Amino acid sequence: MNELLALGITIVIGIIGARLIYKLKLPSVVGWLIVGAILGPSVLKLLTPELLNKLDFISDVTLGLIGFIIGAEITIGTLRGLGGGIASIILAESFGAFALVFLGVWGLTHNLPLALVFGALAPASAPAGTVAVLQEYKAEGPLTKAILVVVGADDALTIIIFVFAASYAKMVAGDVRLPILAMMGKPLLEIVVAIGVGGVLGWLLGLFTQRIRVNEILLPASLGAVLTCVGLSKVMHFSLILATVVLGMVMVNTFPRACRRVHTIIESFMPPFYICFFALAGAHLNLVLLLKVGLLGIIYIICRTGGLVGGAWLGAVIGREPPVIRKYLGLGILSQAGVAVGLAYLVVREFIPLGLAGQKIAALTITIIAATTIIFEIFGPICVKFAITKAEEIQKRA
Amino acid sequence: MNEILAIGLILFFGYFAGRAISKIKTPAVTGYILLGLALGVSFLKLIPKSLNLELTWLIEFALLLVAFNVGTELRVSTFKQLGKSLILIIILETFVTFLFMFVGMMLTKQGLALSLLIAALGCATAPAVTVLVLNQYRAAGPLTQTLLTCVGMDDAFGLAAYSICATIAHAIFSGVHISALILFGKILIGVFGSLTIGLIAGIILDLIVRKVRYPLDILVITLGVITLFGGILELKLCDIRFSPLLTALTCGFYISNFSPRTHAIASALEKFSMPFYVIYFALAGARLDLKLLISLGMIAGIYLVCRFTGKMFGAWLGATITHGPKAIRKYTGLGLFSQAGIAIGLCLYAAKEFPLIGDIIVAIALGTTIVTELIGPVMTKFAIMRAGEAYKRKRSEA
Repeated sequence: MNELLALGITIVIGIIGARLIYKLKLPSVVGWLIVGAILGPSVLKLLTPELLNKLDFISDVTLGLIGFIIGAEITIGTLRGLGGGIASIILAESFGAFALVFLGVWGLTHNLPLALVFGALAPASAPAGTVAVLQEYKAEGPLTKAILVVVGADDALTIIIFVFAASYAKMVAGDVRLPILAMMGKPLLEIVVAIGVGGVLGWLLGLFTQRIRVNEILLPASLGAVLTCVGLSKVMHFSLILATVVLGMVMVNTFPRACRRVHTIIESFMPPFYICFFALAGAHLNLVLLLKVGLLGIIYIICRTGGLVGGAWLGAVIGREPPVIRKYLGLGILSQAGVAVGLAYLVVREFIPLGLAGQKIAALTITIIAATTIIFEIFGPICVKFAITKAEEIQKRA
Repeated sequence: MNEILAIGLILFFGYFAGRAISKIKTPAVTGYILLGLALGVSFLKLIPKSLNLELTWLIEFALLLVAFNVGTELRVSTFKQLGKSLILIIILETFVTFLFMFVGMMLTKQGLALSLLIAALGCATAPAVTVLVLNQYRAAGPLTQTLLTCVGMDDAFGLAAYSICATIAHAIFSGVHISALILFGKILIGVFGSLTIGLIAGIILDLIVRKVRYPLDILVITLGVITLFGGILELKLCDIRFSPLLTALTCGFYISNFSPRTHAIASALEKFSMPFYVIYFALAGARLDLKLLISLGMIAGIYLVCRFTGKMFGAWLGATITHGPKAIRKYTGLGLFSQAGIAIGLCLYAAKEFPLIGDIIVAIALGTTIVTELIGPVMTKFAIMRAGEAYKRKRSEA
């Protein structure tokens, strides 16, 4: 099996999968994920881990483009329209998810470090599924805008919560003293670097593209800026999503006209990448783990959902946002995907050296997070569709 | 340096390289190659050979797009109008060039396999560059018509020649002695098999696309079919080498002649393909080892001379036999000097297939491409000027 054949099969079967799932009135994303899971190592083994590794390239590229698309929607005008309420929503949903999951897991296991780790992972949201659904149904309106802003911006807070809680958990589990406040320096620096790199690239891209007349060169140049940003995030270890969101944000606010053209052209470039992205994500899902969700997994799912939805509601009420946002925003941000699994792997690496207690936490974390990701990744997009349908923000194929 | 960062930089700076090079009235392609050269093994070493090899599948993918595109340029209606004379000119122009180059390479003791491969690379003419020049000077007339047909057709011949020569080269390198008859049979099956499968792919694609409305869906389906069939043919079945490129070409040919949705497919692909073209020209440049090229200076010189005289003599011979007009006899060969696109793609392809002689092929093909890209447009311009066909088109057609 070569890479081209893998891609060809993925795209063709992905199209068919999306057609079938369309009959069930579900978003295409779900079809692609299922197709990927079937083609992947769990079932048919057509997409081998080796191939997946090579094609992960496509996932990073897509994630970067999604970041850009989110950023390009966040104009100063949008933020002003949403007002300070959006900040209170982000704070409330992130801390809500953290707190509820922490309490739930602690109540079940009375294991403090384990509860901290699960709580730390809970706020991590995945923008890809959300954005793909919003685009598929051409959603427009206050809820859509608010969802985009929240999934774009909560990455920074997620990182801070994760580092803080995970380090504290490590201290408890390993019975060591760690200078937590000093340790916060590194993630904060990473956030600053991500914003800096994204900002500079966004401004440069705007500066250059405003003079490009021909659409032909526009696409390579804009892709170039986004991919440079993605590449740098890998080399310098900062958040890919945060940086590309900032890239889009800076561009749309400094060179709005150039940005609109770039936005249109990138959106028309995306569809094949969406299919590959979600099918590859689906192939990464290890379906056997579903059997191991267990009570802990169910508690995690319930508490995370409750925390995000309830937190978003609370934040919106405090921020005096309109009822559509209060009721439905939480449903739009449930997706959990690669980022959470990546963070879980980080936990594994950090906790395994801590002896038996640490190893137990590491094993539980990776299993439960990977297993619940299967659920959140599939139901997240469905909930997004439900939310925008209820809010009547769908413009196409209602 | 990771792949994404490399590609990001290529695309981002490709924009500048293209602009800078257009200042000296040279096609943007040269700019992309020079950019790759600067980043590649010869100078900055930011894109090492290993990285280039990792991305082979991306180049293969881009080449499939190119081959499909070449196929869409071939029209049955043109063949009918052409009559025997043009067909003979094209056949001789390609064949004599191949022969001259093969002999030239054999005389410099390059070995049978390398000589065959290089001669096959030399057949193709760059359609983009030539068409660009013809449009720029609003050329019209018999010579212009001839040139336009030649550039499309000899790409197709070049691809066919390459797939034949590659089969022979494989036989030579494998060291296993097989009879000429079996080899011949394998070549026939390979070529005709590829053509037939391409037709089937075209028919399938046509049937599906007829039912699809949205342009983005058309893009996805077209890409899916092209990569799927390309990937299948990449597999070596029963020790017969099929040519994915010929398949893509036939598929494009079928679509452009027999599908009602030609225009939709072509325009969807055109927008999508541009970044991939930039990437593959630049990656080719990055592989060019300048030191090796200098040491091969003599051979490159002979290559250029043989290719030039081959095109001139072949076209002249064809036109003379069929009593074509003087302008066509004298100037057709001159107008066909540019070499890019297919030649570069094929050299990267050959480098992957034959790692032993890969570097030499890349060096010769790219070194000579840069020269022909600089001189070719000037020669094409000269040819249409002398034939008195410049500025004969009405403005509205230009």
